[in-house]
Amino acid sequence: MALATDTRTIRRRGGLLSLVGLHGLAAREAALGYGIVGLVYLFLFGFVFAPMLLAFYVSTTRWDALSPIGQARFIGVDNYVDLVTDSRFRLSILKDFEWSAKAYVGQIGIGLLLAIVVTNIRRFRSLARFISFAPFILPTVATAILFTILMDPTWGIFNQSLRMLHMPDSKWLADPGTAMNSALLMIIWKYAGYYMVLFMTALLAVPQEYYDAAHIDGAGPVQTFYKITWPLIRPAFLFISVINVIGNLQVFDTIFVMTGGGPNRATEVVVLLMYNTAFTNFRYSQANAMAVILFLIILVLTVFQMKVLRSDDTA
Amino acid sequence: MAMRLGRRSFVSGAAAFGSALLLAACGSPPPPTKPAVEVPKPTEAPKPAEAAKPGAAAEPTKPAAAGAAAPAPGGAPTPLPTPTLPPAFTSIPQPAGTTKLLLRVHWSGSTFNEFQKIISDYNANQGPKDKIYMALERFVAGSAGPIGTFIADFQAGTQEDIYHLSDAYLADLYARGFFSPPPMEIQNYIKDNFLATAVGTGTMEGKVMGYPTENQPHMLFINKKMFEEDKLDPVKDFPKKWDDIRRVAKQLTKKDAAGTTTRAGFPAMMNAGEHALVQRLLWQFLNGAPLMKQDGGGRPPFDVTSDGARAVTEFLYNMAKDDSTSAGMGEVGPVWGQRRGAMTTHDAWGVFFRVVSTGQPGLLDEQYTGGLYDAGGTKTGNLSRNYHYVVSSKSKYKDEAWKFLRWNNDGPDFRMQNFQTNTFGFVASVKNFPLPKFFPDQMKQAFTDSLKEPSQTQMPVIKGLAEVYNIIRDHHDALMNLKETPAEYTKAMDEELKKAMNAAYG
Amino acid sequence: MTTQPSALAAPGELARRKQRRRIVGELLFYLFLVVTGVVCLLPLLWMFVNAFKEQWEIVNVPMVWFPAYPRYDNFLYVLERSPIAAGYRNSLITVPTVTLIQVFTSIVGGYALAKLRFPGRELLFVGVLSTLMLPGFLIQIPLFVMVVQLEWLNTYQAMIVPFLFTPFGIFLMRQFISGVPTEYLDSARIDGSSEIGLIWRIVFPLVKEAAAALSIFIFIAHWNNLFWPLLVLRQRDMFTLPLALFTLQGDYGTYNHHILAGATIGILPVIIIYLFFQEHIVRGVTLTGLKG
Repeated sequence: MALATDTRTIRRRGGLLSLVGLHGLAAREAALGYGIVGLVYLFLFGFVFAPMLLAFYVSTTRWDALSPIGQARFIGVDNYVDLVTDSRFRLSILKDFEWSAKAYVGQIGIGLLLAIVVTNIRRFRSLARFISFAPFILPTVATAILFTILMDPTWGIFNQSLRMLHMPDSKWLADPGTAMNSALLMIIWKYAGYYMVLFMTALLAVPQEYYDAAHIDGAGPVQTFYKITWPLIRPAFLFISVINVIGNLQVFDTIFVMTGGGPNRATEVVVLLMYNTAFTNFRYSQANAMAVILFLIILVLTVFQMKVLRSDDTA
Repeated sequence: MAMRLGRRSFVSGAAAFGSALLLAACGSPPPPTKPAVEVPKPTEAPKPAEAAKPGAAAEPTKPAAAGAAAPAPGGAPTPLPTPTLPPAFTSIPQPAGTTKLLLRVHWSGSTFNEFQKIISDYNANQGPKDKIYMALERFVAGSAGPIGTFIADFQAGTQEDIYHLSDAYLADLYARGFFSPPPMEIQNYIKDNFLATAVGTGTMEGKVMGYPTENQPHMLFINKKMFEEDKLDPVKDFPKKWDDIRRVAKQLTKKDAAGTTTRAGFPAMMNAGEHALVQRLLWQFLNGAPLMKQDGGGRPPFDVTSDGARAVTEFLYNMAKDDSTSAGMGEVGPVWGQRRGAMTTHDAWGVFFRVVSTGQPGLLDEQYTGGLYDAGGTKTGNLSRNYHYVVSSKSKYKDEAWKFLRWNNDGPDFRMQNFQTNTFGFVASVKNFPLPKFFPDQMKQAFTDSLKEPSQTQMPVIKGLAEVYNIIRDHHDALMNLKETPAEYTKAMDEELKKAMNAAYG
Repeated sequence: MTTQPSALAAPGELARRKQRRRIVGELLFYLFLVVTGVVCLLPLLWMFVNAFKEQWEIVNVPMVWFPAYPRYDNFLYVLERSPIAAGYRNSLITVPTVTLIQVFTSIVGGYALAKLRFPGRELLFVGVLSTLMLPGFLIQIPLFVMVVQLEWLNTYQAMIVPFLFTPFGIFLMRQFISGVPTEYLDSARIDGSSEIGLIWRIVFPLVKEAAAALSIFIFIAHWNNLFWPLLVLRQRDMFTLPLALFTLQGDYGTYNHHILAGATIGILPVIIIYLFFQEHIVRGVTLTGLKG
């Protein structure tokens, strides 16, 4: 009874929102909600959408980022047509896919494996986590330089170690065949621990009762994973997967520092080509068109992943 | 029930939480970091090693490191004596009543340090008389591409007053209104006192835009010791004809038991677009099929398809096929410096930076220098590749800038030339200038002869040059890795160069 | 838990066999972890050791394990030749500021999108989410042009204002807060709490652990950020730390020892933060792993 009286009093203060049927507490709540989200969107408009729109516009012009933007010559979809017919751009997309696919398997595969291992041991858990996570905190540029030094075919310690073990040495970054895999080695080393932590978070949330029940029913480890673990970590996996793809398709620093796109375009991924197009070749608007195309590809792949990995239960 | 739901949504929540953290750390905002420098290429101005003292043919006291081919005494290397650091040269503060001008260079380390000394000398002595104070900075971007920062500075109005730039961007930036030419008096002075081709690389639309600094003639360096070990005479058997180069390269290539090359007869210019271009430019020029027309007008056509041009391609490819090159061994510089190559074509700067300061001890004395020739071994010559001092069109102190530059570059002191020649072994861009003191006599003679030859060419002054470097780098590497045949190389180069020129001039 | 009687062996032996298998399994796991640990740490250790070497000791064949005379000069060189003091100062000003602001706005924004009920909420959330998929490159130069127009070049504002909100932080906090039972919030409302008070008194304490971990990641990302400061900071006394160290570079092939020393200096603060805040991550994850 007392409750009804209270809400009736507050009900009167509905204001603008009463027009959409919100009153009292609900209106107050919604007002704050719109207020906060409004601020967020204000920021996004200023610092994300506006530059983005500008970039979209520029991609339909011919501009080198130096003359005033008003002088940019409008050329419609010419940039896009040029790119689609350019075998070098198409190659860079393929390289991007190759990179992302391998990095996906390496980072998520090893990360998940590590997570499973670490959650199943009794001691040294935090130490294991600490050590595996360490590579992640390093600046990418410093790590890339470090690995390039380690992988030098002549005096780098990787090859020197291989020679000491009487194994054939590799040409690492110097050879078009091995360059991409060498760079991938670094990026997987760097991020595996990170993904391990993510997966651990998800795995640790699975209630032990489920495992115990499975054990009683005589399920083997593989079955347990399939029937118990996987469905429960699936939502987490979806997000990890999406983020991984988005990040890897935009790889730049690693490749720029380690190989510069070479040797012989073996590691020339899209963002690298974008950078060169804009800043070496002075074709900034064409680089923007590349970015737009990349964005569309990322969008498509994200939607695809969400469809494939969506959990059926609505939590 | 509530708890279980909570846990499940926490799973997705926490995972999503972590995932987005990942993105925050590696992805969209913050944006891709502009990295350090490109993977080790023999850059336009490499730097001397720590221990090198200016003016001396510094042989760092390194132990006899076991090169792969040389028999190793083995054991622990002898350590350096007490490690010393040349004192950091801090600039002097700005005196009252002077105007501050900004000069940016790409050097670092001891090079930058030594240059800072010259600037400080000016600021202490001549500067107050001129009422000018020079502030020296490095531009922050590797030689891979300072363009982003140039654009940023230009737009922001924080650009330097005086630029010191390589050929790579000069024409492009000129075309975009970055520079302002010197008064005619200075232009004429430059034309009178500096090498014609060096002046040529800085001449745009008939105007001499600034002082050329350093010159990089390209020579063939052979290792006398390796020749003699194989019963070849470095002087008499110095290969001039391309067939001879090929033959000697094959002979001098050494492999180990596993078939890996331990010493390449003719190291290839890998991952080095500018140098691959220089090498090809010179050879094609000498062979009567210039890579580009030098008339400086209109859209420059590249020639990679004529017979003379194809001959160069075949020649390089054949050596790669013979397996006498260093493809896969890394870049030319370290290969040369570590005695893993018998013959090298290289710019003059390699002598100090690749041989003396980072090469193995005694390597300098083993060098025998000669020029590049046409296929028949009869015609020789050289080329000019330079940096330039140019003044920004947006500078408020253009007159002061040129005043300082006169002090720095004019004779009789030729301070800049002296600095570069004696500190790190560059060849001067001034006519009749003595060569670096630490060059062996034979080397000095070889350079003098090659610069005297009437056959001189220069780096092309074209827009889109930086893109051309990248194109030739990629295809040259492919050719030397045997991933492209000469025919494929020629076709691809022709198409891509045409496209690049269309884009730059269209 | 009852052990199933087996036709194959006596119950005691079965238990023992199971025990052995478990031990072997655990040993294998430990072995795997040791290998992983070595792989993870070795390059770092190599970097530290080599930062003390002479240049030639790094590139020598055969390998020089430890420097003959450990050279501290490399670090001195880095400290003298690059604007490191300014770099540390500027990074310590901008990065913690950005971190605090971002965590705060992420919590508030995430809360709004998770718990506040208003029409169109889901759609607005998707809108925020979509910005995650934009290549950063697409935005950089136009943003730079804007910053130039605002005359914010070379200022702290340019390093902070474009980073007031982060869609990632919002996204994550939203997911995290979704798991908080709504009843808590509603009952506080009915008890007369204001909306702001709700956030302050109830939501913030609940998300402490998550916020701590979020702040670590934001900190790491911004500490290591190089490209944006490179564009926006035009004078040396405004450089942040990565930029200050970047000025050392340019002779990649020759000065490995300096680069490694510089990298070590740049990494140290991150490692220290990591060492200290690791506790929070552990606690946060352990909290969720509590059974029952």
